Amino acid sequence: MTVPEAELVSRAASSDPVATAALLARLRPGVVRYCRAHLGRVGGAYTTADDVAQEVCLAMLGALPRYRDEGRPFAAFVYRIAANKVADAQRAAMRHLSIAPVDALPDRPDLTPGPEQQAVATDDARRLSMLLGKLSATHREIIVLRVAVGLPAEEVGGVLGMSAAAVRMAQSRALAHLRTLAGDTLDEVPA
Amino acid sequence: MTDGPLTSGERPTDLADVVADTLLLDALGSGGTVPATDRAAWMLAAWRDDLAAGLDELAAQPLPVGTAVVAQPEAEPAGEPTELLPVVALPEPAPGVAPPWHVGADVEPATPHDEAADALVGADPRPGRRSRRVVNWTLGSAAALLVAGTGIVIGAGHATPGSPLWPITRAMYPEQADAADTEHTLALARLAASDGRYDEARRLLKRAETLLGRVDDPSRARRLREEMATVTGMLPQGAAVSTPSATSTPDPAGPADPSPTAPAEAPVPRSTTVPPGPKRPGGPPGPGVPIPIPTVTVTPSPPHVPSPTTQPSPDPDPSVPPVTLPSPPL
Repeated sequence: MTVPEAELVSRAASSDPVATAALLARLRPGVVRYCRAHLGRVGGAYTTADDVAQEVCLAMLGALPRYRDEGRPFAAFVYRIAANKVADAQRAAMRHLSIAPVDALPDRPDLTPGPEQQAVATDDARRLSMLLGKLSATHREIIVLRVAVGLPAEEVGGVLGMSAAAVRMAQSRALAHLRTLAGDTLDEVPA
Repeated sequence: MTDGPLTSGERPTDLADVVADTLLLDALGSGGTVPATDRAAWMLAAWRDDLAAGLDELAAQPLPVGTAVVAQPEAEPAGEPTELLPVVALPEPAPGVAPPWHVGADVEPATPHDEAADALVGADPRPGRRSRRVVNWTLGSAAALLVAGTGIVIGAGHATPGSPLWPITRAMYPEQADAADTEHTLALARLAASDGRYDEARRLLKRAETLLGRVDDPSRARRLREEMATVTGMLPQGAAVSTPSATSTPDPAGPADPSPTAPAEAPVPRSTTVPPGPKRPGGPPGPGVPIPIPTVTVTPSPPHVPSPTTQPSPDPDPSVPPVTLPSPPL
């Protein structure tokens, strides 16, 4: 884990197998958290989100040899693939909703409590997930990338096509909005 | 607890706020702790931790594509994929040119009870469920097929240590990697044996033997052992299967005694000019022979020095090795 990411990426892009494996191992947790953050629990579990995350990883591996030509920051490369996959999964859920409205699950995070201990442990997490749905798409994406994935502001800017300064301003607004919302939910539903 | 009701714009007026928020988000993103007084930050931290729940176990799991390819043929009941075929065909009728991310993810909501069941058993869904989902992708997406193709390479054992995805196999599913590695090594050994490069074949067999010891899956290990026995049978003096084969290399000068119980004369000449003995495909190596002791090493030593073995040298050993004898018999 001491090899800089840029070097790993460059070696992986030229089909260095060791670097590819190391890169995947390094990226996978963030991708999983990203998909979970956007797709939430379905039926109380993250399995759907995790499956989408696998698709992201596989698509990323497949596109890796072409990466060098695109000249973008690598985080942008990965999380744009991830954003596409997540959007497709949400659209697909929506489509399914219109086909079979009775059995369908919402494309929003499922807020019904799962098993009891899970419900207790994730109460705040669930609530925050719900609050995120009230943010604008950009603010939500910034929060997800900054907190769930853990990218620095500069890389978030690379993903979203913004400057790092713009990300910092936007993330402050997003946080302020979240604080307001959190205060509201506190009033409504005391924890 | 809140920062006071901000107006609808919610514009941070103070640059210090921006800096503080940046630090806060940096801390959140790197798994750090947050002040308990900030309700939103606290919830964000809980959310972040919840997102990472079970992630370590997940990372230890194989990529589903590997599961699909490797485990699918034997483990999947025949009925399941067909059951899902229509569902997959619905959203993605033309997978041929679909972008990689157009997959049958909308299949998921069709089985909410499965998800709920998964939730009940925890973050680790049953393998069958998982591979069935994988089937969905594989059927529904050209990309999945493409990558599954790569996965087949891994699963089929063509993933040599030089192939691009091999290290992924190693990293993601070491157990399968060991099996594939064994298979691969055995294939090389078979090739070497049929080419008459017996020394190399023995060396590869020995390596396969070691690798085989790490394969836990009993049926797979059994198949590999059978293959190993077959390849060993291709070697001249195939009797050496019960003990490491390298110890009974045909010695032009020595007595070619194939006795499996006393291979102690075992000099290993690095002779490439040894006339290949008659092939004995169904020879002494029985299929039930346990894994030979892997600690015996091939030593290209002069013919009169016996190679060290872990087995106590039996009495009839004529030449007592000067230094290299490990220990006298008990």
